[in-house]
Amino acid sequence: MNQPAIVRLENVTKVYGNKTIGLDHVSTNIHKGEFVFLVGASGAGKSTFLKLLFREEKPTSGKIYVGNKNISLLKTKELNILRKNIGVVFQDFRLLEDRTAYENIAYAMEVLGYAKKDIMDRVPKILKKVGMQHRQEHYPQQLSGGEQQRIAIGRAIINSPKILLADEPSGNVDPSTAVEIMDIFKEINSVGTTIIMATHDRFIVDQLAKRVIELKKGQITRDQEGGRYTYES
Amino acid sequence: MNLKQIGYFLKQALKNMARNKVMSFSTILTVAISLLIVGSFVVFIVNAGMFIENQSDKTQLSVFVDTTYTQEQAKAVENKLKEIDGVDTLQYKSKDEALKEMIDKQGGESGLQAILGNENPMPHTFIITGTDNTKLEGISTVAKTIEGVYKVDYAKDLADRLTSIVNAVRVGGVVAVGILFLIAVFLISTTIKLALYAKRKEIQVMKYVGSSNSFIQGPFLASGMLLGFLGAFVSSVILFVAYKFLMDWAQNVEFLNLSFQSGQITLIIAGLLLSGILVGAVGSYISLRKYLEV
Repeated sequence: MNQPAIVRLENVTKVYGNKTIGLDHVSTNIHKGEFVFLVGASGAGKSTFLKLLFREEKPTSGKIYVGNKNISLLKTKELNILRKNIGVVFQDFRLLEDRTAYENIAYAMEVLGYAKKDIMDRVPKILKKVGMQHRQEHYPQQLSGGEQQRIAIGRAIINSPKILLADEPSGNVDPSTAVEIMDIFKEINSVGTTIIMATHDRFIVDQLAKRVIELKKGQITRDQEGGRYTYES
Repeated sequence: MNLKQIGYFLKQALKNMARNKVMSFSTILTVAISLLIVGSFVVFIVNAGMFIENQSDKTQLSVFVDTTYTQEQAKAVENKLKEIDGVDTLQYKSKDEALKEMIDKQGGESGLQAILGNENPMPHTFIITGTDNTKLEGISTVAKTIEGVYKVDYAKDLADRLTSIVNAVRVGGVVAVGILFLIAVFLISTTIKLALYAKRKEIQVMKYVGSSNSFIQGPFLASGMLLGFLGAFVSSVILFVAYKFLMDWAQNVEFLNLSFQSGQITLIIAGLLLSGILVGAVGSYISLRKYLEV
């Protein structure tokens, strides 16, 4: 890899208040434009890994660098800049129920203070990108799981983040929809966005054959380029 | 922060309030009641102060002579009074004059006269003015020692008594006002807490996309300030009407010497509105600090 590391973890440990270990002395580098799968059993530390990256949580010890900045030391303003550069997609979508598909995506621009004109210009493009332009006036409860996830992805990439984090994005959709959603991620990745995705979806990991980081009890037990869901030598 | 942002905050604040109508209404009402009591205290204290000042300004002293004294005996008292240092003018009011004045005050002869018959319980009275106000106390002291003088009335005594009453009310008022402010702050902070809870999902999304703190907090701060302002506005309207009514009445009561003063009430209402906004800002700030983890 000639690209500089966009994410760097140095000996990172996260212990939660109730002594649960999230991560246990983890060090790794992720480069710009990479597509990385985080795999492992529930509670292995995948979600903790992602939460630490956009500082939903702070590490107990160790250092996390995103784009050369130790994110534990960020001031509020810098933290906002970090989060503008990181998109997040969740298993449960986290859409606002009282807003349409269009408004859910537009909201992410509104709250950053964008002008109406910019919003009206950009949102339709994103809706098209995630294949939802025909459903833009629908409310989340009128949409299928797959459709809601497309909207959530649209919201995550509306502000052109450099890194996209996804926590089980296909966990609540059927297998064929999961494949469609992965196509969207592949496309986002193809234009240089770094993607870090925690997943249980063996089929997808095996099919995409990207870098796989396997976690077990908070430690990295495997880090394999073009890897499969389970280790095969 | 620019105008567009403030407009956005206010719009969101109105939406927040519309979403929590009952809570918003009761908050406005409580703030209004609290500030109305605060305003009433202020009006009372200011006007009592003015009344006392009016009274203290009066340079008169009334000396009452023993009712059994004859006119000649009263004349002797008069001569002694004239000799007191600081006496400027001395006006004699006979028993008959005093009685006539009394009957007039009561509104007509019939009633009082019938009860009294030929008795006249009124004393001979001397109205004394001092060469200046500071002499009055000395004149009063000396006059009391003259034989035949049974009472000296002097406006400053009344003023002093009133002052001590007003001071007591002032102390009690400050305590009550403090408690009322705390209640108002607490209520607004609770309302904002509920609004934060109702919008927790939106707040989460805002955090994820890197919205600035001021953008997240602005609408809630605006909500609190708006609630405080509306409460203050309601109390101001009530206070203004009550003040106008009361002063129109007081104007006809001669000795009160109080009247409607637009400058005074404007100042008090401006103070109330500012307090309302401040109470709202403090109340929402407390909730934002406590419940909004960024």
